[in-house]
Amino acid sequence: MNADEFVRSAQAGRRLFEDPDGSPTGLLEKVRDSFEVAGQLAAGDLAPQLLAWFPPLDGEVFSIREDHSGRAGDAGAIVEWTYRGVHRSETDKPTTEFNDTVATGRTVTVRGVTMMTVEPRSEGDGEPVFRFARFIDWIGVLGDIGATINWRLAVANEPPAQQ
Amino acid sequence: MITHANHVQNGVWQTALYSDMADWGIPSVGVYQGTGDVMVVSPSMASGGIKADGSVG
Repeated sequence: MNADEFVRSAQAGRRLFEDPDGSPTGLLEKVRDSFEVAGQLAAGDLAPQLLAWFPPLDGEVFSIREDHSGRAGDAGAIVEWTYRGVHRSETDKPTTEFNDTVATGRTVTVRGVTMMTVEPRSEGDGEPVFRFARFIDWIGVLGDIGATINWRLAVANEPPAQQ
Repeated sequence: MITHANHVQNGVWQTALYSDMADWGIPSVGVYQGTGDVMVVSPSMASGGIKADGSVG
Protein backbone atom coordinates (compact mmCIF):
# COMPACT_ATOMS: atom_id res chain seq x y z
CA MET A 1 0.00 0.00 0.00
CA ASN A 2 1.12 3.56 -0.62
CA ALA A 3 1.58 6.23 2.03
CA ASP A 4 -2.03 7.42 2.03
CA GLU A 5 -3.31 3.86 2.26
CA PHE A 6 -0.89 3.12 5.08
CA VAL A 7 -2.09 6.16 7.03
CA ARG A 8 -5.74 5.24 6.48
CA SER A 9 -5.07 1.67 7.55
CA ALA A 10 -3.31 2.92 10.69
CA GLN A 11 -6.22 5.22 11.49
CA ALA A 12 -8.66 2.34 11.11
CA GLY A 13 -6.52 0.25 13.43
CA ARG A 14 -6.45 3.03 16.00
CA ARG A 15 -10.23 3.30 15.88
CA LEU A 16 -10.61 -0.43 16.42
CA PHE A 17 -8.14 -0.33 19.29
CA GLU A 18 -9.95 2.55 20.97
CA ASP A 19 -13.49 1.37 20.25
CA PRO A 20 -15.31 1.96 23.54
CA ASP A 21 -17.86 -0.72 22.68
CA GLY A 22 -15.24 -3.34 21.90
CA SER A 23 -13.44 -5.74 24.21
CA PRO A 24 -9.81 -6.86 24.04
CA THR A 25 -10.79 -10.48 23.53
CA GLY A 26 -13.32 -9.55 20.87
CA LEU A 27 -10.68 -7.52 19.05
CA LEU A 28 -8.23 -10.39 19.22
CA GLU A 29 -10.75 -12.71 17.60
CA LYS A 30 -11.23 -10.19 14.79
CA VAL A 31 -7.47 -9.98 14.34
CA ARG A 32 -7.14 -13.75 14.26
CA ASP A 33 -9.95 -14.05 11.71
CA SER A 34 -9.01 -11.23 9.33
CA PHE A 35 -5.74 -10.28 7.65
CA GLU A 36 -7.21 -6.86 6.95
CA VAL A 37 -7.96 -6.18 10.61
CA ALA A 38 -4.62 -7.61 11.71
CA GLY A 39 -2.85 -5.36 9.22
CA GLN A 40 -4.78 -2.33 10.42
CA LEU A 41 -3.85 -2.96 14.03
CA ALA A 42 -0.20 -3.50 13.13
CA ALA A 43 -0.21 -0.33 11.03
CA GLY A 44 -1.76 1.61 13.87
CA ASP A 45 0.99 0.45 16.18
CA LEU A 46 3.81 1.19 13.72
CA ALA A 47 2.78 4.33 11.88
CA PRO A 48 3.50 7.05 14.47
CA GLN A 49 7.15 6.07 14.85
CA LEU A 50 7.98 4.90 11.34
CA LEU A 51 6.40 7.87 9.60
CA ALA A 52 8.28 10.26 11.89
CA TRP A 53 11.67 8.58 11.58
CA PHE A 54 11.42 7.59 7.92
CA PRO A 55 9.00 9.69 5.86
CA PRO A 56 7.46 7.50 3.16
CA LEU A 57 8.64 7.10 -0.41
CA ASP A 58 6.40 7.39 -3.43
CA GLY A 59 4.87 4.07 -4.40
CA GLU A 60 4.63 1.11 -2.10
CA VAL A 61 5.38 1.98 1.51
CA PHE A 62 3.92 -0.82 3.59
CA SER A 63 3.30 -4.42 2.69
CA ILE A 64 2.21 -7.51 4.57
CA ARG A 65 3.10 -11.12 3.86
CA GLU A 66 -0.34 -12.64 4.32
CA ASP A 67 1.01 -16.12 3.74
CA HIS A 68 3.23 -15.64 6.80
CA SER A 69 0.66 -13.88 8.97
CA GLY A 70 -2.36 -14.90 10.94
CA ARG A 71 -3.18 -16.88 14.04
CA ALA A 72 -0.33 -17.67 16.41
CA GLY A 73 -0.97 -20.31 19.01
CA ASP A 74 -4.17 -20.32 20.98
CA ALA A 75 -4.24 -16.66 21.89
CA GLY A 76 -2.11 -14.65 19.53
CA ALA A 77 -1.74 -13.28 16.02
CA ILE A 78 1.24 -12.14 14.00
CA VAL A 79 1.75 -9.88 11.01
CA GLU A 80 4.95 -9.97 8.94
CA TRP A 81 5.46 -6.56 7.37
CA THR A 82 7.89 -4.39 5.42
CA TYR A 83 8.03 -0.59 5.53
CA ARG A 84 10.01 1.65 3.17
CA GLY A 85 10.92 5.25 3.80
CA VAL A 86 13.72 7.77 3.76
CA HIS A 87 16.01 8.64 6.61
CA ARG A 88 15.46 12.39 6.56
CA SER A 89 13.82 15.04 8.65
CA GLU A 90 10.55 16.69 7.75
CA THR A 91 12.32 20.04 7.63
CA ASP A 92 15.15 18.85 5.32
CA LYS A 93 17.54 20.50 7.73
CA PRO A 94 20.28 18.73 9.62
CA THR A 95 18.76 17.46 12.80
CA THR A 96 18.79 14.47 15.05
CA GLU A 97 16.35 11.90 13.78
CA PHE A 98 16.16 8.26 14.71
CA ASN A 99 18.37 7.52 17.66
CA ASP A 100 20.24 10.83 17.49
CA THR A 101 21.62 10.19 14.05
CA VAL A 102 21.77 13.08 11.63
CA ALA A 103 19.42 12.38 8.73
CA THR A 104 21.31 10.81 5.83
CA GLY A 105 18.70 10.92 3.07
CA ARG A 106 19.18 7.22 2.47
CA THR A 107 16.36 4.85 1.65
CA VAL A 108 15.49 2.55 4.53
CA THR A 109 13.69 -0.77 4.49
CA VAL A 110 12.34 -1.82 7.86
CA ARG A 111 11.32 -5.45 8.22
CA GLY A 112 9.53 -6.86 11.20
CA VAL A 113 6.89 -8.98 12.79
CA THR A 114 4.20 -7.61 15.06
CA MET A 115 2.73 -9.94 17.62
CA MET A 116 -0.62 -9.26 19.22
CA THR A 117 -2.33 -10.84 22.16
CA VAL A 118 -4.53 -10.16 25.16
CA GLU A 119 -2.96 -10.36 28.58
CA PRO A 120 -3.83 -9.20 32.09
CA ARG A 121 -2.84 -5.68 32.88
CA SER A 122 0.26 -5.78 35.07
CA GLU A 123 -1.05 -3.04 37.32
CA GLY A 124 -4.34 -2.52 39.07
CA ASP A 125 -7.01 -5.16 38.84
CA GLY A 126 -5.36 -7.20 36.13
CA GLU A 127 -8.13 -6.66 33.63
CA PRO A 128 -7.38 -8.02 30.14
CA VAL A 129 -5.77 -5.59 27.69
CA PHE A 130 -4.85 -5.85 24.02
CA ARG A 131 -1.06 -5.71 23.64
CA PHE A 132 1.56 -5.46 20.90
CA ALA A 133 5.19 -6.60 20.62
CA ARG A 134 7.44 -5.89 17.62
CA PHE A 135 10.41 -7.89 16.45
CA ILE A 136 12.23 -5.57 14.06
CA ASP A 137 15.43 -6.05 12.07
CA TRP A 138 17.22 -3.06 13.58
CA ILE A 139 20.62 -4.18 12.31
CA GLY A 140 19.25 -4.02 8.77
CA VAL A 141 17.87 -0.54 9.42
CA LEU A 142 21.16 0.69 10.80
CA GLY A 143 22.99 -0.83 7.85
CA ASP A 144 20.70 1.04 5.46
CA ILE A 145 21.63 4.38 7.01
CA GLY A 146 25.33 3.55 6.87
CA ALA A 147 25.88 2.86 10.55
CA THR A 148 28.23 0.18 11.73
CA ILE A 149 27.68 -1.66 14.95
CA ASN A 150 30.31 -3.01 17.24
CA TRP A 151 30.08 -4.45 20.66
CA ARG A 152 32.35 -6.09 23.11
CA LEU A 153 32.14 -8.20 26.17
CA ALA A 154 33.43 -7.21 29.57
CA VAL A 155 37.11 -8.09 29.80
CA ALA A 156 39.46 -8.68 32.69
CA ASN A 157 42.06 -6.00 33.38
CA GLU A 158 45.03 -8.31 32.91
CA PRO A 159 47.70 -7.29 32.43
CA PRO A 160 46.94 -4.01 34.23
CA ALA A 161 46.73 -0.91 32.08
CA GLN A 162 49.99 1.01 31.75
CA GLN A 163 50.01 4.34 33.51
CA MET B 1 43.26 0.91 22.73
CA ILE B 2 42.22 2.31 26.06
CA THR B 3 38.79 1.53 27.39
CA HIS B 4 36.89 0.55 30.48
CA ALA B 5 36.51 -2.95 31.82
CA ASN B 6 32.79 -2.82 31.27
CA HIS B 7 30.14 -0.64 29.73
CA VAL B 8 26.55 -0.07 30.65
CA GLN B 9 23.98 0.98 28.09
CA ASN B 10 21.69 3.91 28.60
CA GLY B 11 18.15 4.25 27.39
CA VAL B 12 17.52 0.73 26.15
CA TRP B 13 14.01 0.32 24.78
CA GLN B 14 12.85 -3.22 24.30
CA THR B 15 10.53 -3.12 21.32
CA ALA B 16 9.85 -6.83 21.71
CA LEU B 17 8.21 -6.44 25.10
CA TYR B 18 4.44 -6.29 25.03
CA SER B 19 3.03 -2.80 25.37
CA ASP B 20 0.10 -0.65 24.35
CA MET B 21 -0.46 0.47 20.77
CA ALA B 22 2.33 2.74 19.49
CA ASP B 23 4.04 2.69 22.88
CA TRP B 24 7.54 1.82 21.69
CA GLY B 25 10.74 3.34 20.36
CA ILE B 26 14.06 2.66 18.76
CA PRO B 27 16.48 0.68 20.89
CA SER B 28 19.20 3.05 21.97
CA VAL B 29 22.56 2.02 20.57
CA GLY B 30 26.00 3.50 20.85
CA VAL B 31 25.24 5.42 24.02
CA TYR B 32 27.58 3.90 26.51
CA GLN B 33 28.99 4.81 29.84
CA GLY B 34 32.20 3.09 30.79
CA THR B 35 32.51 1.47 34.18
CA GLY B 36 35.20 -0.45 35.98
CA ASP B 37 38.95 -0.16 35.60
CA VAL B 38 40.55 1.82 32.83
CA MET B 39 42.45 -0.68 30.78
CA VAL B 40 44.33 -1.38 27.58
CA VAL B 41 42.94 -3.84 25.07
CA SER B 42 43.99 -5.02 21.66
CA PRO B 43 43.20 -2.58 18.83
CA SER B 44 41.25 -5.39 17.24
CA MET B 45 38.79 -5.29 20.13
CA ALA B 46 36.04 -2.79 19.69
CA SER B 47 36.28 -0.31 22.53
CA GLY B 48 34.16 2.53 23.67
CA GLY B 49 35.95 5.33 21.93
CA ILE B 50 36.67 7.07 25.18
CA LYS B 51 39.46 9.49 26.00
CA ALA B 52 42.91 8.22 26.89
CA ASP B 53 42.42 9.19 30.53
CA GLY B 54 39.33 7.03 30.74
CA SER B 55 36.91 9.89 31.27
CA VAL B 56 33.53 9.80 29.60
CA GLY B 57 31.95 12.74 27.85
